[in-house]
Amino acid sequence: MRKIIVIIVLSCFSLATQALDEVPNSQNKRRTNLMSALEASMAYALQRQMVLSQNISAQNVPGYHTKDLKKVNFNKPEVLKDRNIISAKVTNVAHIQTRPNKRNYKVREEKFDENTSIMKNNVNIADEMVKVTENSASYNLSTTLFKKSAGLMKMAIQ
Amino acid sequence: MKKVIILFFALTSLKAIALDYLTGSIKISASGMKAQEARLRLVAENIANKDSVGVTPGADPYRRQTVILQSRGDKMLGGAKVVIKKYDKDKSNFKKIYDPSHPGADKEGYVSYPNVNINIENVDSKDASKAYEANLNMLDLSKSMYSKTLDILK
Repeated sequence: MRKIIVIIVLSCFSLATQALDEVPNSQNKRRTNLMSALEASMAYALQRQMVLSQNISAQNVPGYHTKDLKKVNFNKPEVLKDRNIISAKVTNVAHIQTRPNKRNYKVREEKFDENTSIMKNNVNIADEMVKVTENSASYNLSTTLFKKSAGLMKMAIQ
Repeated sequence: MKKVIILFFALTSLKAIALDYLTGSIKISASGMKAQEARLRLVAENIANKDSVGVTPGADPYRRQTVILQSRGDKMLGGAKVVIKKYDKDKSNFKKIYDPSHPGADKEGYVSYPNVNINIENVDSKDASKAYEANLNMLDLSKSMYSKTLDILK
């Protein structure tokens, strides 16, 4: 029974994503484009949050290099094209590995002269805190805009 | 009706992404906190044992302990956690103090004292507590981002 529900939900989702691409009205299309851009920017902020927390937690690990996400321009259509794919949740290594249901932005490692640090670690807490604040501000902005957009959509539906 | 479905699925997929990344960052921050806790625990142990000497002649006193941290990738998480690689011993020399009346004194009358330097331990504990705080702030921030995501669904 549960499996059937999951299949129905997945098929509904694929129909919905197809429908998103085929919105005839140009105004609607703009809105959905805006919403997918916001969604992409939120996903970016969420992934960046994880990478930054990794940096902060590894500040005392010898040989660790600071990591960050590559900058992405959310105006580009190819960034928005990469839609989420819902797949079975993997909770064990023995489970069948499917494509992850999240966007993966490229992570870059900052290069530095290893001779400048005894621990060969270039994590700077102040820099990381700046990045974290910037990231959370951008996430807050995206969520607020998304909420407003969704509110407008709901209003139109009613 | 179509629009309602679209909105519903957009919101649920967003929640799924938030769940994945934010729980991941919370777990990573927690692993960092655990590592710093281990460091603090060792500092406490070192300071507490700074005068623990051997009681039999020529016996070794307490040896300063250190912790080695390592960044270990977690496939399930999609990131790298911090783990304790191993607890190690500081191999530096012991302090020798001349005290022939001590039961632990060697043939020449010297007693070996632990290689614990209070200043180093103090700095280490400050560093660990600051790092713990940074991780805690990160965890708080992830939590607030999580609640912001849930706010969208309201």
